[in-house]
Amino acid sequence: MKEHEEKYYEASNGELNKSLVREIKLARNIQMKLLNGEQPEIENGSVSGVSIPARLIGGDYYDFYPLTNGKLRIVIGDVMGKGIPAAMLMILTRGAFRSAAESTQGPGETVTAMNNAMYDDLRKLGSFVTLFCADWDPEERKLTFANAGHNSPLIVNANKDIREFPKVKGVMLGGLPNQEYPEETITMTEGDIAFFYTDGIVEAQNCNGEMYRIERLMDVLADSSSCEVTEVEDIVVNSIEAFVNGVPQRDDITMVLLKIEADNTSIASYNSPIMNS
Amino acid sequence: MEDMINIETKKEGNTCTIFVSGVVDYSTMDPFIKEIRAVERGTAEVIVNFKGLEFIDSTGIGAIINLAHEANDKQFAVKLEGMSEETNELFDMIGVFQIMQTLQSEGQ
Repeated sequence: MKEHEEKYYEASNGELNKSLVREIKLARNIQMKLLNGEQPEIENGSVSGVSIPARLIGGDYYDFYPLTNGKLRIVIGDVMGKGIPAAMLMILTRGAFRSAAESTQGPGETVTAMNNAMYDDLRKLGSFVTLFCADWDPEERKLTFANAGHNSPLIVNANKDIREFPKVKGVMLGGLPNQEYPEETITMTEGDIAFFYTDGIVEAQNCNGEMYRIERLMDVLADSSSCEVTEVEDIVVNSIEAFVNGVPQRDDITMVLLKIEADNTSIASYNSPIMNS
Repeated sequence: MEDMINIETKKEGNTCTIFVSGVVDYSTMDPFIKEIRAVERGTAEVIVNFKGLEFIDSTGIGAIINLAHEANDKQFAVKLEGMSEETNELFDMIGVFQIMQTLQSEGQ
């Protein structure tokens, strides 16, 4: 290749790189705004979520959808893979959830509708999404949930007792067509915290290749059970950062918390949750 | 510290066994996918042995699921063996076994 041609290609590559970096930053901005946009206010409790991608953008997803009957639909999901490909499918997942949440009765139906909507695309792409979906009923203080191959959330009470949610099985989105997802229900009491999360938390690694693991997470949650949901988020993130001690994050990290507070039920509880921008 | 994967393949008659050890994740799994794609026509059964597996992430699990679907299309059987209890629980939770069983019963 001649010298002037080499310079031309170098310049072109430089421009391409700059353009790609700018577009990825814009994509990150879109994803962060969509993910971390609105946290709903609920009767007799509080909810919060946070997602930290391993790269500039990621494939983890959480969302809240206030239902007209006063319940709140919560979802957390993890798209196979990382980075830009996973982020593209995360947006697809968000669209499927919002559309399904509007037209389905419960979390099981929502997950079925999402699998029906996404199955062909995911199979064509050789990808999948694990997902956990739950409806919080503030009046009955019941959480009804369905699972598409996601890890079971944890529940910690005011006495620091911590356990996994009862197992409810279902195949991941994109695994098999025409799936039905069974539901389970738990009753929550004052001080309980439900902790939904993705595997990036328990699989975070330190420089010795050791993982953070669920046992460490359970200890941290038990110790912070008296804190507000946003404080618990910070405590978990700080604990992971202290554990990995500077080792670059390998996988996206996402958590959603629901904490039950004292009963202040009023006529307002018949209204939908309020979304704060 | 760089993660490593090691793949070895053994063919006996119509059965192909792929021994997977080390870390199967986003950054290491190309040789695993290559080996899966190299499964020859006429193979009756593919066994994936995970005895030396240290870690598998969602991308690695995606490759297993794609293998199960490919087996259904091309009419060969897939068997997973040598998993630790932890890997077994992970595959069960995500739905890997359910997919394999459903596809195999459909293919019969």
